[in-house]
Amino acid sequence: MLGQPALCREVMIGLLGGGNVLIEGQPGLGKTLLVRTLADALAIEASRIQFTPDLMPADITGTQVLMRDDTGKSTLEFRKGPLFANLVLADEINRATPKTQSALLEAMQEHAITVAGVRYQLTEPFCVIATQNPIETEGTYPLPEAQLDRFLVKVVVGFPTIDVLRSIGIATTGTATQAARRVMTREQLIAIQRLVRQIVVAPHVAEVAAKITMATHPEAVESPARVKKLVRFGASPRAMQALLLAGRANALLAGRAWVGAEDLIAVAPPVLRHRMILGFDATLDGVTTDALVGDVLGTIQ
Amino acid sequence: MSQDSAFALPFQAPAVLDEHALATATSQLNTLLEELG
Repeated sequence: MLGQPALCREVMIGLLGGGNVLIEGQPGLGKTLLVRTLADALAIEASRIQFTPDLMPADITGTQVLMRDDTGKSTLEFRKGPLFANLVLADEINRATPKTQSALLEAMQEHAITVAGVRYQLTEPFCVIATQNPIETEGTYPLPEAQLDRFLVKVVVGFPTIDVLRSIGIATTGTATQAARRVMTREQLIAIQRLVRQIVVAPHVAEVAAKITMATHPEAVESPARVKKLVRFGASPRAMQALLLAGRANALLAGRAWVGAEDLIAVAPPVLRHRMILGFDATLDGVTTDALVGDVLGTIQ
Repeated sequence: MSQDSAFALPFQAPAVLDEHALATATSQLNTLLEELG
């Protein structure tokens, strides 16, 4: 992954926090490569689902098929779908209908799938990395707020610089193939995910997370002026939980056993940018969610 | 796991965090980040 350090770090934070990751960026920026590399380095199973308008829930969860044995006896057998993996790349998630998108919800939130009344537990670790293209919105079904809230972080991938673009061209069009080195086992990753939850959050740091979340609400006394004017709905309580989880993962990456306010500030943009619903005035004024998150962080600094 | 418990956070920190486990995890994660580029 050339020239995308923020993408790698924020995806890692999502994975370590045991959450799901939404990546927004143009096609061809290496999102599939990132998932494949992660799966290789972590020795976990990965799958890729290309979302299309005709994709049905059973296409991703799996379905029951009629099987006939040697004696001629017929039985219904469950054939697992691509969601039965550790790392699932849901490519262009906003191209599928809401029915199929919502089939992902149970897997994302509860790490389980229910088919024909039978509940199947997914193997840990489980993480959905979904992508959406910000430009081509025709024929898409935007994710509803409730589903967006289920993503621990949203990562925005920018277009690479000319130097990075040149390096990508040289590195990927020759004969050399690069495979990721195995860094840890599946069990070690699960142990690290448990360790993330043991990172200490002092009461005053939890209060900072609560204040950040509160300041995203236009009706709150402490929210900045532009939030009051341009935001329709602020972040949910799940955002505060996500701030602390991502903050814990950020502290672990830095080798600290405790979360500081600087961790919350570092993770606030990817945690909050998909959880603040902006009004039409924001579009007119050309104000982005990231700019408003900056205003929110200004209130606690 | 219920929807709400998926994000349930242990606000009570453990008395002793395994410092060796912390250092090993941080080292492994930084190696992973290097591997990803």
